Amino acid sequence: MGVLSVNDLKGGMVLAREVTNKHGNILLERGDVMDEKHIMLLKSWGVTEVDIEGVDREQVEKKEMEELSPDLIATIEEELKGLFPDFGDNSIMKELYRVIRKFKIKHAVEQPHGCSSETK
Amino acid sequence: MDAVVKPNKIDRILRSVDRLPTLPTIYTKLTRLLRSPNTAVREIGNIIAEDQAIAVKVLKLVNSAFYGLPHKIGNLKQAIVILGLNQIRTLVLATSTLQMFQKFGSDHSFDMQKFWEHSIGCAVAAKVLAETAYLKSPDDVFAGGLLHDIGKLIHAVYLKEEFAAVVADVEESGVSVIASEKRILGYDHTYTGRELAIKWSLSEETVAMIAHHHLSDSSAELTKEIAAVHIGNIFSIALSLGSGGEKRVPFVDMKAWEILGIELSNLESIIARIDKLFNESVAILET
Repeated sequence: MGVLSVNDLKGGMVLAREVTNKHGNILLERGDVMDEKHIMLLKSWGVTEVDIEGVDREQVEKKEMEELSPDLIATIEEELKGLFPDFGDNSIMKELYRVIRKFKIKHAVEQPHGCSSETK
Repeated sequence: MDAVVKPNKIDRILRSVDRLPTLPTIYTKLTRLLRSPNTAVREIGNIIAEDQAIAVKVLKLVNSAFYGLPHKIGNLKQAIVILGLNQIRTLVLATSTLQMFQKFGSDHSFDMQKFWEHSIGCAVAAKVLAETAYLKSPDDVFAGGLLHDIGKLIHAVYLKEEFAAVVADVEESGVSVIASEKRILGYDHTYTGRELAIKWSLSEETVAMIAHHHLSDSSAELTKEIAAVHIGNIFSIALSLGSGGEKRVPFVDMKAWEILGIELSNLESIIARIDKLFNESVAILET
């Protein structure tokens, strides 16, 4: 099992642990099979991560990246290199860089003809 | 060009009240109503109906995907009940800020459209952080984010040449705007912004968010609201939402992050939400 961001969930994935709200009430049971409606509900409840059977985040993200054009990734990394300072092992900046890089790549794939975040 | 400005030049500009941009009376009226305990929806409705541009935006906001209401709302009073006075006041402030930027916008070394987008970007990011951290008034944090760089507007308009030198310096050397302003002007936009905010009689909290969003004064008390604007500014730069002239993403202050108490694992959904809300806000405000 592995923790996945709700944004990376796909239909058919199986919950490895129940999803609870902050009061401990169970929202979805362990073993529930994810479909579009579940994913939408999780987002509307503000749940950000869930445990899924048989996956891990790095593996999912790596697989996603393999499907993308290396040119696209290189372009985005180049853009971010100019934008981000040398952050060393600052944990917040490291995570911010990882999230922004992922977000920009996702955006570019979803809107191949748009121009990243400046699209209105 | 003489790049060094005498320190009292900005104070003189700030004293010449008739030249400075002002907050519209509709915002002042709504603020007064917000402080009064028995304000009727009808009163707010009357004030808003006087300004067609605002009225249209109120209806647009309430009917936006953000609220996801099952029926279209065409009635101003209903819209006010759903949105609440605080939210409407924020909308009025954002609209007036846009008008202010447009009015002073042309003929500057600074891209005012992008600058306004940066202000909205920071406002939205700060609000999302405030909501995630359960702060008591995310709309006030939005206002602080919206006005955090208002000092730069004053610099761009009244200290044209000097500020152009700052923009060129940042572009060339990659230092932060605030460092370059200190070097070239002798003070920075947080000073000017604070003075203007006081002139506008904004609340103490808003003044503090504008004055301390760079956390450059270590003797000032770090509140959660200031932390939200500080980090919101950085996130909007990292997402390239508009531009306030900054070339590089500033470092997130550790203490500011800790005081908000947000888990790092929430970052992904926070960033996605900021981007979505930014695009929606720009679409509503620019029509």
